[in-house]
Amino acid sequence: MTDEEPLDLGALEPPEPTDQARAAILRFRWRVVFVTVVSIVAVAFAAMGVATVYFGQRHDISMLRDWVAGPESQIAISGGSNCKTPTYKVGYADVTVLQVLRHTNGWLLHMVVQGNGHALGTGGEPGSADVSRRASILPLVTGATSARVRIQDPGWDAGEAYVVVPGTPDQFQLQLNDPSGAEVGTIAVNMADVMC
Amino acid sequence: MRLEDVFRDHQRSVYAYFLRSTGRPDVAEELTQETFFRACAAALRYRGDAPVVAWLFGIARRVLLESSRKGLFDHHAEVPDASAEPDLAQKLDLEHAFAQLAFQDRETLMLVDYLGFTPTEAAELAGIEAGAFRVRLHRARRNLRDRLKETP
Repeated sequence: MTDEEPLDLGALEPPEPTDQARAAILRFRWRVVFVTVVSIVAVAFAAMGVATVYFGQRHDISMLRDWVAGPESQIAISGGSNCKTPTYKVGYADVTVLQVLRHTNGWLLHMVVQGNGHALGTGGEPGSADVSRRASILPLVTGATSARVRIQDPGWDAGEAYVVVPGTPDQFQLQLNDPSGAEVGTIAVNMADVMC
Repeated sequence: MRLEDVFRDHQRSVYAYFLRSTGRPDVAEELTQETFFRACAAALRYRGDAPVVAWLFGIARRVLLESSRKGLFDHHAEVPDASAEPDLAQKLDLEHAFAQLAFQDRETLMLVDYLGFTPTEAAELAGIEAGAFRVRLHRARRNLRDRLKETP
């Protein structure tokens, strides 16, 4: 089979079309701008999402670490190593030492304070704790053999307190205040009395 | 040379290719713009190992095929109105006969007899063997001649 002779199709030359070259380039530029903006927004949202998850996890881990490291959880996890739960009379109030745990950093004590119809303390100052809020408190004075702790209550007549005593003193003092801040009384807790 | 100038140099050919293949001026303009639009992105990958015209018509043909797959050209092209320009009767006879051809014949003839690609180059653009393309070309030319003979 041989090719047919070529045809002269020059007569099919169309009129000059409207400028599609310029229109296409403008369209392409707009597309580039659009895609760039969308990409930046998408990356920004993705980064925000990652950051939220990352910092959220860190926050959760941090909270968990704080909780695990706290005296409440330490006592909850390990239980007390005491076998006695002595109750001390401090003015009109009763303070019962429920649990004592020897920690690497010192003593952890879980106590219940009852005002016997009286409000206990106002709380809030450094070295004190609102017992009804189950806050941990640090001693006001520490020493090799003794420490002094002040517990205040925001107005309830009973509550709990978790006390951290740095070091391992043989004795520490517990000071109790009424809502006006006046001292109700002070007791000395001998660790040998409560430990087994 | 700026891309826009390259497009302008070939705008008429690309438009003619689409117009004679589809027979619809509005579609032809749209496809011309689409070809240049895609060429903007493809220009980054163009290494100059093929002539610009072949590269551009490679894109144009893909655009045309995508449009044809949508069923836009499963019919004969629009036949121009010969009574509108009686002095151009011969030209209109050709347009009339060309428009009666099938889509594949129109495209084949445009690539070789209008745009000037060799059958081998056109076969490469069409993605088929050169021998098969020559058969297609032979039939398209014969069909057009037959149509021209039938034209009163």
